[in-house]
Amino acid sequence: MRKISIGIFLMLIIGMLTACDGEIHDRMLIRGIGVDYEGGFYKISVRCENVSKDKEELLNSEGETVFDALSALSLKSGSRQMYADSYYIIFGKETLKAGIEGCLDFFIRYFKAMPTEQLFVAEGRASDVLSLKKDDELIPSDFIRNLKNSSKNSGKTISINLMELISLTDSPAETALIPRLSIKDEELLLDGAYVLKNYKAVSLLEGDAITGLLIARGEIGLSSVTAESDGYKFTLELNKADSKLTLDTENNKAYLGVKVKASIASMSFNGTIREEKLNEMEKAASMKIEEYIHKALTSYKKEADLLGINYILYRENKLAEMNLKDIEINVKAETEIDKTGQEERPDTEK
Amino acid sequence: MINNKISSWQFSFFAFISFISPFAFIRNDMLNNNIADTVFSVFAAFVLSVLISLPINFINESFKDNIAVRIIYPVYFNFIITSDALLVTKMLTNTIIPEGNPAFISVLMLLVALYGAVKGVECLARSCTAISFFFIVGILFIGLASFQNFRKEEYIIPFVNGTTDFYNNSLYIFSLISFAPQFIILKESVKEKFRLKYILLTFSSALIASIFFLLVQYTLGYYALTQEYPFYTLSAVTNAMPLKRLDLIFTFIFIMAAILRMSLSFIASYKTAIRSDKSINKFLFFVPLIISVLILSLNENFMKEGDMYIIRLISLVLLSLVIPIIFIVYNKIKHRRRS
Amino acid sequence: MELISVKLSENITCLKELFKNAMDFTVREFKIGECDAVLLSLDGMINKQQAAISILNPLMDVNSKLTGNTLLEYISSNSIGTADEQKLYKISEITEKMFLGFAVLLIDGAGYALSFGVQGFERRSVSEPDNEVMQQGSKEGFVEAFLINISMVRRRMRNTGLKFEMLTVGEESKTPVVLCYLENKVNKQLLENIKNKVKGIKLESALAAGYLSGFLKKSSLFGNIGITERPDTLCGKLAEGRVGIIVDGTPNVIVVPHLFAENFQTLDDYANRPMYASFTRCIRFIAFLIAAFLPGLYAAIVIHRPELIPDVLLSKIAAEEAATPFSIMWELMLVNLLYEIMREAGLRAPKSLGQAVSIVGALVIGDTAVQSGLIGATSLMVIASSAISGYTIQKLYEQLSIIRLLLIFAGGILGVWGIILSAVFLIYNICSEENFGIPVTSPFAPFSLKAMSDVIIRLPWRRLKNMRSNISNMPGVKDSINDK
Repeated sequence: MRKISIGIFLMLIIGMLTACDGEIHDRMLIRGIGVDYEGGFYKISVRCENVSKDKEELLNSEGETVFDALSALSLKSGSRQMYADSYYIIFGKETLKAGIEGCLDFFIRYFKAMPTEQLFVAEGRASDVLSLKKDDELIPSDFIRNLKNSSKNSGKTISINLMELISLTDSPAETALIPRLSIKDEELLLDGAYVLKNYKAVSLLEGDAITGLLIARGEIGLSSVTAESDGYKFTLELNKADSKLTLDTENNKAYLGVKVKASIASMSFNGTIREEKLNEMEKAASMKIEEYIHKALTSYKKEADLLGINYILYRENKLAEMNLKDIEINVKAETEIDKTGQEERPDTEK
Repeated sequence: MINNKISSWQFSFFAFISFISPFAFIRNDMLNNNIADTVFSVFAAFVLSVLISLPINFINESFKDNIAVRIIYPVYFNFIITSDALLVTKMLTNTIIPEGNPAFISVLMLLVALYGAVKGVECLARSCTAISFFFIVGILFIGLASFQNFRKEEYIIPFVNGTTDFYNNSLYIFSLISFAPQFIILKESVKEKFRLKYILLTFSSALIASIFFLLVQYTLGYYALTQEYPFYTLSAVTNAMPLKRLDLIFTFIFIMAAILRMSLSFIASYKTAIRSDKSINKFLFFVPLIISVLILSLNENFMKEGDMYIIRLISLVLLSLVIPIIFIVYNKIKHRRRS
Repeated sequence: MELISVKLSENITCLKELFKNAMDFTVREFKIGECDAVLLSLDGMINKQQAAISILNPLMDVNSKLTGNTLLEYISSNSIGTADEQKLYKISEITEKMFLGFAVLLIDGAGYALSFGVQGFERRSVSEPDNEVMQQGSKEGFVEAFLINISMVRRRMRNTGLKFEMLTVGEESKTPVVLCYLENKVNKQLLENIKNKVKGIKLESALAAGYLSGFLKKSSLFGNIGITERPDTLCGKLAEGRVGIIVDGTPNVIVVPHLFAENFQTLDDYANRPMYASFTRCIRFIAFLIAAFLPGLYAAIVIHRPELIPDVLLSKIAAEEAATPFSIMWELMLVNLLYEIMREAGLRAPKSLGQAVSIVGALVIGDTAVQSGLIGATSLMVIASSAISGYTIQKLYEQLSIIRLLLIFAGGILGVWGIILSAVFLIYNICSEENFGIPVTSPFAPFSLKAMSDVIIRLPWRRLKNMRSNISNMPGVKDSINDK
């Protein structure tokens, strides 16, 4: 009994003497971070949640490093930052040109930040994206975060988080892609992706090139391909893609074989689809896919390994022997249309 | 204090917990940033641990009556308790309690560990069953949840830099996990043979650890090399709805295991210090605690981790192998002279 | 005077002196033939009608010239119509029997007395116990009179091995305490230990089972003994080799030894389907964890590790925190305190006020406090969930109340680290407990697969009947109490 009493007494004393850590509403709940690099300084724009008003606010600060700039936010708000719920990081174009390696270190090292933040690159400045308004209200951070789903819903863009970026860049491939955020007609959209080699942008892929790259990697999402056969246009929805990359190191050649399963989404042909027609469509689609893939592979001239050739070389211990620029990549695509849908439709496009 | 004999399964679960708990506190830079080789190093460390614990089978209770043993072993156990507390505290202050006072954290942990030790071997054995249950459930949950991020492209070729890292990592892990000196002392509390069960459960802990190293490699990829505590990072980035991150579960199970490990060292220290024919003086329990607390409060860093590892390794070999072998040989010679 | 005198007058004088100023002490003097006799009783303890019909009327019809012991022998064999009759040789035995509701016959010249069981004191009728409600079990519960309780057990265990040994506890109250056990199941050494413990209880009065429980267990958080109000539950425990301690004056029967896992078992588990029974057992284990850890974890996470909270919930909690004056830890303490006050008020308030208490409680805590901004809805939810979860394991209620409070403190001050340390501390605490040489955490720790067939899951009876083990065969039992 005496022990329990002493214990309770001690706890009461400790409880009264211990200052609490600070409550959640006293903290700055950061939802998104924008990093711009201008004149040798990092300019940070931060979206944070105002708990009492139930809406987001935009704060700006600057510093010599990202950490300095983020710490300076406390001077404006009086609150301590909380990064654990940050949804995304947007880099400005200038930041990308200068190299984002310098600003990533804080996000990797800081133990409370989640490495699963989505990464984007703004076409102009990150602060422009974060300050964009719709109906006099800032575009919600949820919306910006959910743009990452475009990658699996459209097949024309990609998504990447911090952990994946680090992992890909430190791997033998040394290459990663970051999606580009543009503002068009006062609206945000994802169009294109920058190819990064060792954290520096080497090229830009847009539209079909990204579709081609995703097909080449076997990650198609809801991709589609539009082609023409015998004067008729058709669009195929791609359901599955299997790709196989083999390397002929002696002749500096790589062979990429892609097998795609697709179904007809729409077509301007009104009639019964016979086997010959189907074969023609498949050939046309395959050629289109090869065209898309070739667009993506132009990055190889900048030694950006988008297909993972370096992985194969790493496993065979030949990484030092080959130069990506010199490799000739032969692409062979095969399309199989397994669902044709309704054969005759009353209103068709001519 | 409850001091019944414990069963061989309970003793083997001591081994399981004491082998698996240090893996949470292993730092990447001490492993030379080589996760691929570490998978094999774990098994090598396990084999070394089993080999070094062979003298346990030939030691009898008269081993403790030797005055040298009664001085050297408690000092070693004290060092291990302090060293383990330091490793755990370092991990905690770098992850979940960054603003915490390291000395305060260590003291609390040691107090709880001491409380368990004062309750006796049998209490620790029963607690070990409970903690092992939570540990296995927790580790399975984390493992299965992290499997959703598995990417086979993240394969890192082992032994790509030769075998030096493999040897160094094996010795480092071996120095942390092996608990042979403690088991030499605690062996007297076991009422039956335990060899096979001991090997089975230590092998299980090695298997779990190596699977986790593989998971770290295949889910985090090269990102893992940028992190100080790879196991912790794996659980922190894994989400299993509705839990956003699983590091809470990870911390829970590994800290529980670490505290139990310290309790075992406490009780081994106590059992070595007392004479079998004298009455129990519970004050002896507090001596290692006071020493550890003093060291940790005066010097938070205690010593560089690299130096600590060397001392652990050398003292481990001395106390698990050299001194017991000397004792066994000496006894055999003495026995022959008598007969 | 210790022994009964052959002179009736001396006996009457002695007893009158003992019962001086006790208005319920009744002395009925009469003659049996030519011999003086008295019938002693305590008013209100005997059934007067039965005493008159079975004892007085037959005695007054006796027309015999016998005296003394011979007369008593004759009466005992030929006259009296009661089923329960005993010879008494000491004054203390007379008083003891009178306290149990017996009438005692003394005659002049006899060196002993006869006692007749004609109990007629008022007692509560057998009803369903309030604290152990079962859906499928019987609706009978123990009452205050220990003889009736014994009969309820006897009706269910029709076994000559069922034994009842009476002891007395309390120097002033001399409360009868009956040890019941199955002779072929109970461990002899265990029984001896329990008997010695009960005999060693030094109390002035034992008015409830709880008075004895403090002597039968260690004073620690999880030092626990079993208490039941149900005869069917007691019989189940006796069949596992345990000992029941029936205390006169209370419907609660003590069952020892008691294991931690038994707190999660109910009789309905054995009457329901095994799958459903296993499901409800799991629910109870989960409820225990929720009841103990939820408020503490909530405090730890919200105060020290808010990054663990999903973002939508985090915003809501932050908004609530901004609107209330107290920090989360003190808010939880306040709500917990209000809840405990309400619970205590609900227990102690007269029935006529019960409805008013419920309304005030629901309004004050449930509605007004949240709307006024004194406490947050989430904190209220957390404490309410914890409290309701605690009701599923009624037997651990006291421990859960204390643990909940301690963990709120630990979590609020030290965060997740405090919860971890507290969890380890609790594990050590529970695992160090032993109840009469049997580890309280059996059969989980030490582990026994056979005995685990009735812990978290409940196997079907066809398999369970072969696997049910005696309490003294549990793993980790001290060798000293085993018959081996």
